[in-house]
Amino acid sequence: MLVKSYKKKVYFFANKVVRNINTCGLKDSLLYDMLSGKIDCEEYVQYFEKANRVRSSSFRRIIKHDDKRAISHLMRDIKTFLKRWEIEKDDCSRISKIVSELADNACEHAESECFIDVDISNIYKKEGEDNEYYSVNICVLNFSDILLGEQVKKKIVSNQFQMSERYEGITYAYDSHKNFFDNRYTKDHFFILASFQDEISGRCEESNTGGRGLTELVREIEKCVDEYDCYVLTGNSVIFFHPDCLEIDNDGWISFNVEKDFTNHQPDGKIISYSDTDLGGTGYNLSLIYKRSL
Amino acid sequence: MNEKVIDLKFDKLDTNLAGNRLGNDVFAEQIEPYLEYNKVNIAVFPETIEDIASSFIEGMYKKLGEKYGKSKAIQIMLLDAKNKEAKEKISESIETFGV
Repeated sequence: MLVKSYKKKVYFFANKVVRNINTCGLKDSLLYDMLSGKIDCEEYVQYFEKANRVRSSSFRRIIKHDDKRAISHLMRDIKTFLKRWEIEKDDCSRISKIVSELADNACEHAESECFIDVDISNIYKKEGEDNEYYSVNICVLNFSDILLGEQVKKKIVSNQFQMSERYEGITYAYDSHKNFFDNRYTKDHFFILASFQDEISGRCEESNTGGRGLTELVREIEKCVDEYDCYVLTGNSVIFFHPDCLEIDNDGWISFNVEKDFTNHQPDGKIISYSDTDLGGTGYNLSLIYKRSL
Repeated sequence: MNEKVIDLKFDKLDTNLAGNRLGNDVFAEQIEPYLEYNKVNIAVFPETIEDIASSFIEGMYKKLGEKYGKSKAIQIMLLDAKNKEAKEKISESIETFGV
């Protein structure tokens, strides 16, 4: 938009990008093509606007928020793309569901189009091991004034929900967490975490149903991946997903802390962060690392 | 209780179903007008549907769930599939996540 609509020159800087299992997909990106002189700025814009692009190890799509069937087609096409790599059928299904759930959330809640990028890394080995590993790196990005957590915040703060045990619980947790808010852990972070909780939805008309998509994301990440490195950035707020902080506590909440108690303990310091750059939307960056079957 | 079977129809290219809003639309267009509340209504996905995301199922139950509550919603409408894999995914989704 900056280039096409506002005729601005855009300079891109990348500081110390180390080629590893998480970053190897950059070589298939249009930015890399432009930086290495393969395409110029105008060609960058032309190629970027194409809704679909599939290369040998990368899949890219832009989905319009009002195209309801696009999410189903995305799920189908990601599976087709992943099947070319010896990824287990169940894992293909899980990955395609994670991506389509995140895209569905973006299109519906943020009311904006959504950019999806999936790349498969080369094979890597850990030092001292014979096992081989590869990574499925996923980016789901949208630009919108409606950030992750905002609709849940609006619902809770202004009591725009029918009373239910889950919403009573989140309201109680909010009151408890007010004692923890500081420069680092803010109200915005709390409502992002609330958005991931089971049966908590940002949809105004839902109090008894809904709120599954992001919970499913968290649960699916835990299954069958050897390791993962995942975070979400929305506005300036960052949440990292750390395995030891994703256990379900006794009240059925994702705890987000090692004490395994969402309501009475603040989220662990390592999962909360802040970005100097305001993304102007929401971006999920998921690196799912699988051990290659021999 | 008597059963009412409602066969769902999709485009031939639709082999996977995902998205809350699409689930909501399918319910509104293909199921809601034909529901008989004195029967167990069974919505059946055709053989061509191989996989169904939980967001889609959630969307299908949204209106019934909000009006009648989740337990009653499942009593009013059951989901089934002619494709064995899709059938398993439906059960897994409802068991894990409810509606």
